[in-house]
Amino acid sequence: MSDPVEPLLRVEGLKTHYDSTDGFLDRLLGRSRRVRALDGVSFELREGETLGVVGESGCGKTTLARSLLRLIEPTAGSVYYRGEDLTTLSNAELRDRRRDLQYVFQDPLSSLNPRLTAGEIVGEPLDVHGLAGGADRAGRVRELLETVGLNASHAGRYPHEFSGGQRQRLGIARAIAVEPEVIVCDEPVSALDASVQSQVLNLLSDLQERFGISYVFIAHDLRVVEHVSDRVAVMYLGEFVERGPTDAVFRPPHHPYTEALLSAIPEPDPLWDGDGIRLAGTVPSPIDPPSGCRFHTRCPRLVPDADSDLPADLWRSVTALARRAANADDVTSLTATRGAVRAHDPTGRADDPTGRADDPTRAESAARPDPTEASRETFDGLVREEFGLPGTLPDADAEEVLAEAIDALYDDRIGAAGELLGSAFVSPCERHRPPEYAVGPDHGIACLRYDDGFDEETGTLEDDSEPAGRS
Amino acid sequence: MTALLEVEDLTVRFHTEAGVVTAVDGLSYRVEAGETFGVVGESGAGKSVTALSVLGLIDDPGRIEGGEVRFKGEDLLSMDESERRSVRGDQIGLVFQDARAALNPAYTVGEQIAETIEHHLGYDPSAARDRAIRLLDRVGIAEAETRYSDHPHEFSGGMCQRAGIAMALSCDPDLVVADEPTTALDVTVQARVLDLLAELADEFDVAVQLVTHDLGVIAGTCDRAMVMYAGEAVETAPTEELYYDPKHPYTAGLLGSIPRLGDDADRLSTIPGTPPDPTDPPPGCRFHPRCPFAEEACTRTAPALVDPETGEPATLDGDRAAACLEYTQGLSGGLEYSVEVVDETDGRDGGGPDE
Repeated sequence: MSDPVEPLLRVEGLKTHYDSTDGFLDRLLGRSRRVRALDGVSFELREGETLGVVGESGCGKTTLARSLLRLIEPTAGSVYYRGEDLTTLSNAELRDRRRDLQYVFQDPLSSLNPRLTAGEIVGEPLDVHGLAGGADRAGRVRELLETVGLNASHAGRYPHEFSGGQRQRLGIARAIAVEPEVIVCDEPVSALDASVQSQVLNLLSDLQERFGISYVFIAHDLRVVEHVSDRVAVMYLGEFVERGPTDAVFRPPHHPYTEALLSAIPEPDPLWDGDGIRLAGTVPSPIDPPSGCRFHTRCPRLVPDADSDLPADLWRSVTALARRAANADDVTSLTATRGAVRAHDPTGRADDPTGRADDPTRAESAARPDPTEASRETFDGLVREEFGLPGTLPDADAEEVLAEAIDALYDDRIGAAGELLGSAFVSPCERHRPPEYAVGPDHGIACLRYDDGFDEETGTLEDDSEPAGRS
Repeated sequence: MTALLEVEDLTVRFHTEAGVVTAVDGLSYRVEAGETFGVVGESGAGKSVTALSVLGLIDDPGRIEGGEVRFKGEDLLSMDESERRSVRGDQIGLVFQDARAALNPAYTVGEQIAETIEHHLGYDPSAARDRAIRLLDRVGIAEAETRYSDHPHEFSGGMCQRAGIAMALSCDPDLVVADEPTTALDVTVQARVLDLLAELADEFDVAVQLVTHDLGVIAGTCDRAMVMYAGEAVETAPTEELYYDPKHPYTAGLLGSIPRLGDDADRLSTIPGTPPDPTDPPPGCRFHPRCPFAEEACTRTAPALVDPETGEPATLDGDRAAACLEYTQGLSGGLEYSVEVVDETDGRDGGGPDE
């Protein structure tokens, strides 16, 4: 089925950067901010297959979808369709190509012209590409509507007269009107109810079987992606972190990000107990993505420094402190907030709304210890509590650095503490950008844990030089 | 014994230009103290209207036209607005789908929570601020003291929802009504917010009425759940029984239409058609045009909500109820579906009508 020489679609190093330079003053001062929404993505789409792309919001999925067909102009890289580079085509040539490459949008209502009837919407691409006229055209429109499961007698209705699922069918009818080879679907079912969603997914798979269409299927829902895809790419901050055949991606080994996404799926089974992996925070800003592996700031499997004797989880807790210290404005944010939250607790109650602040005994028991006024010892405890660190780290060197950093924090030298910790606790993940490692046939994972130098037993990277890997 | 919240025979209608929409039709259910009760259904099923009715937040052109909403035995609907407001503020918290829209963009997040605490619990400003900070910290907002002074637009979606939860819990309510609290969030954030909600419900000993369209969300968090279709309850059951032994064909159909990990089927089983036009629901059983087991009787007789074992009318304190003629007069073809639990190692099940 697939052509070993040239796949249907071959994407190489596709990048799309936006300029978010903010107004006149920024320009005057020469400040520019580049949003690296899509930052070097490569993949192939073979004939008749579905490639699923998953990731959280803000990871660049939609930018990828739009850059492929140049609805947004990519900054760099190439998109080869049957060997022809779409990024170098003129607009007129590109319009011709769009007969072969179509798009289905997330929100069917906003992507359908409200002033056109269903028949006109489906007929428009036929006119644009001169595919059918006169009686042929009317017949073709009826045929298309019926193909996607709409009633052909509803051709005179307007989009608002259809339900959400029917509107999405209409969007699909418009896309297949020109008999395309490839359809890029951007979250085609995420706006639909469960029972309707499954109907539309079945329709897409029927159309694939009947017309041999290939899909690039973009969605945030892993359940949907697993169901429709032959191969899957997992995206994080503008890059692919894992790609491979669907079965392989959804079975170990995983990229830690894939693993976390899988663990977060709410399974409709009350006795199912997930792995309980929870990611902290949200996707960082693509303006200034983290160094090394972009996922390292949230990674639950961050690789510790090989020189450290700390257990991996403690090591990661210390790096969490280092990261927070690097970004914090004041020390109160780095200390545990003690005290009960229940209103019924005797100290927080409103029986005595007056004078609480003046009453010293009450103030002492009620108020949270103010870290800026606490003793060095209390302060130390508050910091360790916030990050789940023991009173003394089991590694003497690490403890020395940590104590010094807490001293600095106590003196309100937050920047110094951040630097101290930041330079003493450096993960290889922070230093090295992981190449894609081949872990199986056609299956690649961009994570240092799959480097030859990674020691499963100690959980560290032995040879901390530039990682090799396939790339 | 009376439950914390008892809704009986609630009917809500919207008088629109297109006609009268009966959004909720004779709905009855209860929420026990401390339990998490799920309400699930597709859009238009009446889930949100139900939630808003509990709080007396139905506005024109909507009207609550019948029934009672008893909170700790007292009917909220017969109270005047100021009495209802004090119950709502002090004892019932609300978490919205769009948390950012629920916060006032002109005030800092912390101030808004502190203001609620001052108003309802009578705290002085500094104690209210203190409690607000502790709450923000408790719902997992890092650097709570700093973030207290941030405006809503400086919070991410997940943080807004956490702040929304902090606000709902700020006055120590006995019931929190959460309307699609995680629908707008990424799956990784959703998982953490659901964990948090469950943890806090336990810690604060508060009952939660969780409204969602996602059966996966219900499975992980709720003790009991009610499935709604076209303004009516079609099934109520303890969560495990609902998933492993669904009694209503709609519940079974919904379970079957969710794509499962590790399921190799090429096609998903689906419920044909779409939910009915709310201004003109079909006669008889409202689900019959989409039901694979519908018979002639279903087009004529509206099924009552009954105990599926005995066929007796469902009561407010019963645990299982389903509205299908199979359980009163019996369908000649019966209901032919089964739930399969596939692959022990995955522990995932597949439900839905047999094909």
